[in-house]
Amino acid sequence: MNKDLHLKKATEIAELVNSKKITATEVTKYFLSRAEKLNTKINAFNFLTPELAIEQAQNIDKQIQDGKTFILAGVPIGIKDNLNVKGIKTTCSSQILKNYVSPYESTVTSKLWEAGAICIGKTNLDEFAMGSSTEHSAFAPTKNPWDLQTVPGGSSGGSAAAVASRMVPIALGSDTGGSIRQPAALCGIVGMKPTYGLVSRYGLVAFASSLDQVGPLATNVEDASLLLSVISGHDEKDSTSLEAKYEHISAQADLKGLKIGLIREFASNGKGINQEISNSINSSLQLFKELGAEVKEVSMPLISEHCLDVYYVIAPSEASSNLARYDGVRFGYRDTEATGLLSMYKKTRATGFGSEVVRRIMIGTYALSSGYYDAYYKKAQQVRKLISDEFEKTFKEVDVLLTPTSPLTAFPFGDKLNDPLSMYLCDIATIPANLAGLPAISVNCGFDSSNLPIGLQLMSGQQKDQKLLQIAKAFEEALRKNNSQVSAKLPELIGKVN
Amino acid sequence: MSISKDELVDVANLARLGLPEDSLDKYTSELDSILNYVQRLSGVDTSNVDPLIHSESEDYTPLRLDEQNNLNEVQAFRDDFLDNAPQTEGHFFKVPKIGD
Repeated sequence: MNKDLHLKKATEIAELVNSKKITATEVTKYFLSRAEKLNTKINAFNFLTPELAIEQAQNIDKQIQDGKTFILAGVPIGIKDNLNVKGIKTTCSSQILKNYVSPYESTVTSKLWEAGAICIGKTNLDEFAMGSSTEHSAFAPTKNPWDLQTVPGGSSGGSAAAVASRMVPIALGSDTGGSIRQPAALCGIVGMKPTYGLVSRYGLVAFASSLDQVGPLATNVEDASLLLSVISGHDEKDSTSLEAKYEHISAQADLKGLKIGLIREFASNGKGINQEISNSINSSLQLFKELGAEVKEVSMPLISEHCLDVYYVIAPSEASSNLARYDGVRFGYRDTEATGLLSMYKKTRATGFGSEVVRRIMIGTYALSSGYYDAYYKKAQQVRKLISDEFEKTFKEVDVLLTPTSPLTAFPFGDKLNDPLSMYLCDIATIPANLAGLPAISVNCGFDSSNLPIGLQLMSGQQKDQKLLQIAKAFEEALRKNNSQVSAKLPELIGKVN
Repeated sequence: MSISKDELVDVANLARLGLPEDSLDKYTSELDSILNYVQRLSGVDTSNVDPLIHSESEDYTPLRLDEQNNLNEVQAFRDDFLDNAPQTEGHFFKVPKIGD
């Protein structure tokens, strides 16, 4: 009966558990055993949490016996290791937090446990969520389940690889410049960054506070929607969280008359977008047209020309401020060789942080320093305003915008590690949504000639998250009918366990 | 050049990063190329444009009641926090002497 549990959707697992056809404990043991075996190959999890998982599952089973039901009854989930789960380590894949144990619970995870979800483990990331390949993890990189020689994307590469290899049906990630959507694209799954403020960030380790947002990763749009419905909503512990709640979608959108904007600068090989990706995006556009959508080319020169410049001033500036707290005093690693306070700070931070984190703190400190503030930080925020205006203007003409999620499919390890700028270019199509606070989703739309997944990104106006997911679901459904070979494809290694 | 090695050392001091001597040339050249890249911003006309600090409406200020927390919970929380500290004494964080 349990044989293909990993091929089931989260919604189906919850239904089986709620109807007592299987217990949460059985589901949990099944996925734990799968994750233990697969993780040795993929390294998606920094660590598993079997004791917590079994305890949670037994608790859910008891309550279900008493007649209760749960939205995510017994559904195993992977939690990105920059979200606090009380009593469990939160490492941010950094040496500086290697032994940090969370003294409190994130709002999003407490909502998950109340909804019946089971914590399987904490997933790997680029240190402090800074990177696009998970190679900047201080521990070890995560491998892409589709090809173990390639990266899973990042920074939520662990969450994406865990879902793609079906170690868990769903996972949480965080997205500051594409960190949910880009790994989702490279791993062939669904990843969504909600509207800024839709999900509480209480308990998320801060990277760039005006951009960070927590969001779902799943094998399909419906599960992503269900997960978002559980974690969204205002939280008095996060004053940036909106007075808005996301309602789970019950149906897909009717695409007839939908106006899709294709950003000209990201189409037909622009911005270093790989030809096979362009071709796949064009076939997807054709599919949208067949369903009655209108496709309109729009020009967004500021977004395509300047989003990276703006991001690589704002994100490091905010990071340099947020990461000042890691000083070896209250928590985390301390260099014990130093004899004075100042040298303790300096040695602790220089040895505790990896090179990408150091680079970003340095850029941010430079951009915020006296004499440079106006030329860099203030200037970037002014251009950010123009970018936001450009979106607003465009959304008067179209309902959603469509781009490839990533200009490249999964690339080999080491390919971009020695050239920070080339790594930054991976996020060229995902960063704009963070700058303007918009919801954006990546769904799989095909494969390249090396059998590596290709992601399609849809963006909409602020707080149109529900509409966006309905449109994504309609596309997913159309692709399934039109090209079942693409939508049914799974990484080869997932069938080799259980 | 956007940044010299001397400026890099100053910035590292401000950021409280004691970078090893043999890493300074590499960081200088990497930061220089990143800063050169983002200088493309100077080509955008931003006269009379207000900076956008975040994407939420400026008049959005949620309020909550200012209630006192349960003292026992706060004490338990404090102990959990102190457990994470590299060095403590009583209920205090202990640090090396100030001034080298």
